[in-house]
Amino acid sequence: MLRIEHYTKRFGDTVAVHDLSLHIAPGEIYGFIGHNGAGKTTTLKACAGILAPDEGEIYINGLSIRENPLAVKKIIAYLPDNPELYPFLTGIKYLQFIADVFAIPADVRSERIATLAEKFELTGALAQQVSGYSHGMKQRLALIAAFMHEPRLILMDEPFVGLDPQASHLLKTMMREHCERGGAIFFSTHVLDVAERLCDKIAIIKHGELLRAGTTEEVKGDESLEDAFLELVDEGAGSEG
Amino acid sequence: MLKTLLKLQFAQFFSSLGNRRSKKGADKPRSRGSMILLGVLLAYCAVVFMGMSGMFFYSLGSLVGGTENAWLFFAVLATLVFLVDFIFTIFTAKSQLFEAKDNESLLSLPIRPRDILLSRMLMIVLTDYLFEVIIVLPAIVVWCILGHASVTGILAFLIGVICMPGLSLALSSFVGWLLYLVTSRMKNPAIVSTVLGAGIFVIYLFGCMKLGGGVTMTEEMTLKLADGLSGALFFPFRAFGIAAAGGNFAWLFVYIAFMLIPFAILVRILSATFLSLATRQKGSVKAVYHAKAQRAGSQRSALIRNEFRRIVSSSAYMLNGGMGMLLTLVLAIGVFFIPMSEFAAEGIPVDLIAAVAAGLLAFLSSMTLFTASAVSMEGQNIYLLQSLPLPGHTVLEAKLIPHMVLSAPLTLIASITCAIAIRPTPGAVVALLLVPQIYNAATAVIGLSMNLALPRFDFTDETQVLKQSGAVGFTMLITTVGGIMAMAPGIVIGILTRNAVLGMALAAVIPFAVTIVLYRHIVKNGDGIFQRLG
Repeated sequence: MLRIEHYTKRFGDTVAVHDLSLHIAPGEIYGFIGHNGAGKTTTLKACAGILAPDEGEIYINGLSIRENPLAVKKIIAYLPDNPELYPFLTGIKYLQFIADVFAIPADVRSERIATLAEKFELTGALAQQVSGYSHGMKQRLALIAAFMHEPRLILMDEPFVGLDPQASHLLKTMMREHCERGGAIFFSTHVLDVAERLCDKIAIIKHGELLRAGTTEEVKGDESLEDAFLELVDEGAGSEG
Repeated sequence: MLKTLLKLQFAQFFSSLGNRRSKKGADKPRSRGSMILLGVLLAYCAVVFMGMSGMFFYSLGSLVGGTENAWLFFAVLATLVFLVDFIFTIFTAKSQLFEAKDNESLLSLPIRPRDILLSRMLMIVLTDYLFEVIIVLPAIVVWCILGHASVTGILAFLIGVICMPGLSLALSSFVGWLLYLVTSRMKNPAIVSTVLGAGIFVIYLFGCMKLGGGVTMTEEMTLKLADGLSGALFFPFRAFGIAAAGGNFAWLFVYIAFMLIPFAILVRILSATFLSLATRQKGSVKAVYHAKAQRAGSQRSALIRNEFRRIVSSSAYMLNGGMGMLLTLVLAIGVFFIPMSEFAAEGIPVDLIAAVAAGLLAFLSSMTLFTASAVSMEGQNIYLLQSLPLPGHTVLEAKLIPHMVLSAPLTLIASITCAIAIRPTPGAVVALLLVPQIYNAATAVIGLSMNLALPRFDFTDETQVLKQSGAVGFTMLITTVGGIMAMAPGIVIGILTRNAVLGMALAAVIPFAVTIVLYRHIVKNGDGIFQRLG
């Protein structure tokens, strides 16, 4: 579903991500873990076609995002860490905009909006302007927009931040259902407990370098994911020292 | 603490001028070339406005200097400064004092609300001083050249000038505060603010016409003006006039009291209420959505609808972007009040008058600047469009269309009213209808191109993009100065051949070519350009 091959991104003299290769298969929830500034967001943005790689290639469903950006973007959804949505639109107008962009037929969009808004308990608030939404409401609206066009791959940057426990639980359920239908999810998180319980595979990144990747069991071994992560990061720090 | 906050304000201001934000979020300095161009732009604006101001005050000073009405010179100066400072800072005061995005984060720090307020007010005072310089500097130079200056007069003048923004800032902050209180609970605050803003601007135009009517004065006008400014409403400005013209410090003290006491009272009141004002719950009564059938539309129409909604959601965007439209409307109506028979009596051909009208409409079209900030107005949302399956050129075209849809009909109406009032030949009517529209289209594509070259997405309030951005400044420079230069061949050939229609047609050649070239560039390379933004 998603194949990242030797992806490298630089910002000036800083190497944000170096020679990263990952493979995410259909049906997988893939967690991406690392400290702040490790290169997670940069990688997710590159997968979403927002940042062009300096080196390497990213394929989604066999299509290069560099060569076929529009075809790829039609089958993905990207949820940033801080969903800045159009403040001048109402929630429903924002969803209509997204539905128009993805050419979702009128009857289908009506049904999906109704279902998803009810699931995320946002139906009543859809008439309000996004500028009046709390962070959690924006996050829920962005999630509805992400699931609305039934993407094959969903890219999420810290999706649980700002969600209440109920919405957080719903999201986890929906992520699992999405993958059971053959989709895939690649998401970053700092909540290691969630990653440990939810992810089929995990990659740990530090200073743009991939430290470890594999199934959750392979990555954490006999320890908790938190211990494994801290150990790996400390090892990295030790070797640097 | 105030010093630290002022540093922050200055850093934001200079960052908006000198830096651009890279995709990673770090500031990158602008190139030396763009900084030089920015300097040229500022110098050009200063020279044009100071020149106009100098000519007006030379005319006034020649008439009143050394007479018992000498006070009128400085009273007019103070009134003009007050009008300009007040009118042009109402919305800045509203957005920077009460709606700044960082108000809440600053209030969460151990900083006195009064310091936050004062730091923002001082930045507005600096803006006021910039406006002041344009009026005050040429005026005092003219006064000295005319030989009426005295040491005490100059001293009183300088002290008065320093205090000048006090009253206007107090009033603009007060009106901005009222606007904020009224509009923050409204469903469509932008529409209300825009209508108010447009109304205030028209009053300002009327006031300027009443004060001078142009850059030259007559004796009769000065007498009328002296009579008008002797009224109670203008007492503070008259006090300044007497103080600066005669070096009278008692009157200067009166003037200073009028300038500073309202300011001190307002600061006191706003300081006490700033916390609750800045953290006020915004938004109208919460509407409740009831599920209903949705309609489908195309990508293009969705993008265009979004652009329209963005424009009508922001009074600052409507007023700053649509200033040319407002002036076009004034011209469309005002043309019926111009006595055309007087031109005919002087033997001026109607086609020549039509050519002047077409040139004026073209010039006003160049002041409609929606596209010059259309890309920057995406702000932090730019990622959204970039992550969606949207061709970049479609996104950019959608930013051009509202500009044309909003400005073209109004320009067309103005062309028609001009044609009705002037009654030129059929050929001139066609040119009068077409030429301004070509300049309109040129302004739209130049504005968009400039914004693509100089985007800014990291603003804390949108006036930084709408008023202070390089894209808007350069677009104005190119469309006004470049527009006049583009008209030059048409003017020259029109005069030589005594054929105004030919002149108008030739004046449209360069903007037409520029429009085609830039539009093709946007369509052809728009995908790549758009994807690299941010």
